Amino acid sequence: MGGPGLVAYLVVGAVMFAIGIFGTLSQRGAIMVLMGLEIILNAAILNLVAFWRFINPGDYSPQVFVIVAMTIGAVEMAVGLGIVLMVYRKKGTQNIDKFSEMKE
Amino acid sequence: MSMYRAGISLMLSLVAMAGLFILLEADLLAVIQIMMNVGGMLVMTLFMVMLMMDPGGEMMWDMKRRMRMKGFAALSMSMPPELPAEKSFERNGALSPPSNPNGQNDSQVRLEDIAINSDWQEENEEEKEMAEKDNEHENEMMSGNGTGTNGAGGDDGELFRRMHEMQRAIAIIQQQLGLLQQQLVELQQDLLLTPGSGGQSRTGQGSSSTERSSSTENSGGMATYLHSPSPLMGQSAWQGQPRPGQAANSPNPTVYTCPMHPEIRQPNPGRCPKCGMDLVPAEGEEIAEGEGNNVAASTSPASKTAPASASAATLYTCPMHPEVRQPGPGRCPKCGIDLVPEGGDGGESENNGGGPGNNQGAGQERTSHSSHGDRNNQVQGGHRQDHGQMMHSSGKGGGEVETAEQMQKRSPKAYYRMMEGMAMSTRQLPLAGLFSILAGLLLVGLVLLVAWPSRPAAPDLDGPSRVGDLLLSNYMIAFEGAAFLILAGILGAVLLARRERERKKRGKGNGSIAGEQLNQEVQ
Repeated sequence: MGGPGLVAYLVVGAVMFAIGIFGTLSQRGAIMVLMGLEIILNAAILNLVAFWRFINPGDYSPQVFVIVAMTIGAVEMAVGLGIVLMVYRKKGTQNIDKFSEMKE
Repeated sequence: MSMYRAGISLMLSLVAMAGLFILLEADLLAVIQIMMNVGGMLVMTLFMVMLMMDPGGEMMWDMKRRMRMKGFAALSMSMPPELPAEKSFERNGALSPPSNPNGQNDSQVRLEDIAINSDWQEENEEEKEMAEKDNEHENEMMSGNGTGTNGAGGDDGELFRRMHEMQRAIAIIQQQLGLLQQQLVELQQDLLLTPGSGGQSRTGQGSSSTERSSSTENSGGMATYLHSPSPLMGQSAWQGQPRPGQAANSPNPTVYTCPMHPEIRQPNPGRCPKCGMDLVPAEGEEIAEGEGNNVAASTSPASKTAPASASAATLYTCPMHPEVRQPGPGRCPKCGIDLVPEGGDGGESENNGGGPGNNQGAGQERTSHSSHGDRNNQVQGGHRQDHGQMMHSSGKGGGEVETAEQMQKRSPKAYYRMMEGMAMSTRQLPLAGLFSILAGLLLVGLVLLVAWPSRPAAPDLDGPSRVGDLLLSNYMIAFEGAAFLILAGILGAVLLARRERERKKRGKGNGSIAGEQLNQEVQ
């Protein structure tokens, strides 16, 4: 089988992780931060799948783990968006620098 | 950075992830990825993005483009593009359609002209000083780039600082224009008070005071008078015009008025200088009334005074400089304002709300032979109206001053932050790029350094069914837990979004503007 090896996937995963970190750190919009988190999560999932494929392809437990991780990612996104929507309604901004106080 | 583009790119990257999963022979994961992430999460993300202002970053882009143009259009950046106050002040200030896009300098120059040529020097000295200060401000802001207080640095900070300065300068100019309007009103009032030196000027006074007394409910009469350009003037100059055909053939007999401010009347459609609403054509009664006035003009006792007033009314004068008199219409050589016919005041045919007894001829005769008390009464009426006008303009001036002070207090960085919060296109922190590049290099180095074990065995073809077996046997608890987690998450998100809306609907919360906007959108 000719396809790219494990290292290629891991490099892609590392670059995606770096991009996700960049998005999370550099952006001030809460949704952009959530998008960065999503990229990080996807990088981790890609690493998981790549390891499954190239190290132990006979065991399908990692796929179950990946499904659970995707679920958690989706839930995190939903709750994060709900919180952002709420705060946006309250404060009129989604700039996370202005979320510093949780009271009100 | 545009959120919309970021969302689309994230969706594309998730689809590419699904492709990678297929390459890794994890087809089930690819399907789940597309269904769950791309289908669900990004719909939510894009929905969220759509709720925000300026999701595409268009506004910021437009701001930058306008800043590059450095035009007058740059003023309307932070505000809605058709803010009524600004437009009205612009119209008030220029008193003529702004011909060039660089209207700021135009109005400023005109302001200085007025200040130089004015009759009330001592008051305008201050204004000249202020204008000069404005100029200095502008020069400073054009030349002195290094003194910026923005720590953000870069072109954006400079652009925003410049924009902020320009807005401040414009606020000051608008305030001065408000003052000038007020002085105009005072000057007209003075014209009323002082006994006329000649017969012509007395005629002018008489008609203007008639206008005042007949339009007591017309608080914006002065504004209308100033705003009404020449066609209306021509129409209302029936009084001494030896050519009545002009009034009949007047190209635009329809008067446009504001549905909220009936005192606003303009000969052509546009926006109300007070509230910015679209002007609507006035009812037929006003038009008919104007025509009635014209008819009355040709038949009324005013025809007796026609020879006297004909010579008077062919003279055109400037509303700002009464000493300017010209035989034909045109522009004032001193300030460039459209000249108005001296005998007939612009506001007469439009402002005269009275019946047949209050027609122009009677008004003229009465004022030309009026007793002192009568004139006093009229002057008082005019004064009351002027007071209202002055209150109006001073109120606006105060608001402008406050805005200017606010903007002075606000540093450019804070201003940028405010714009950023509004515009949803976020700026990047400076160190994040460096840090993330370092992290990426570190990770890639680690990946390349480690000698990963490799087992080239291919996965089974019935992978998805094996995963399903595992999910429902060994990992049953994890599967159910994930299902409930999704349920709880979706419910939580819906409740988070919905409870707030109900609270807002109850109307007790001191809702922010964005919340109210959102509510309106939702409803």
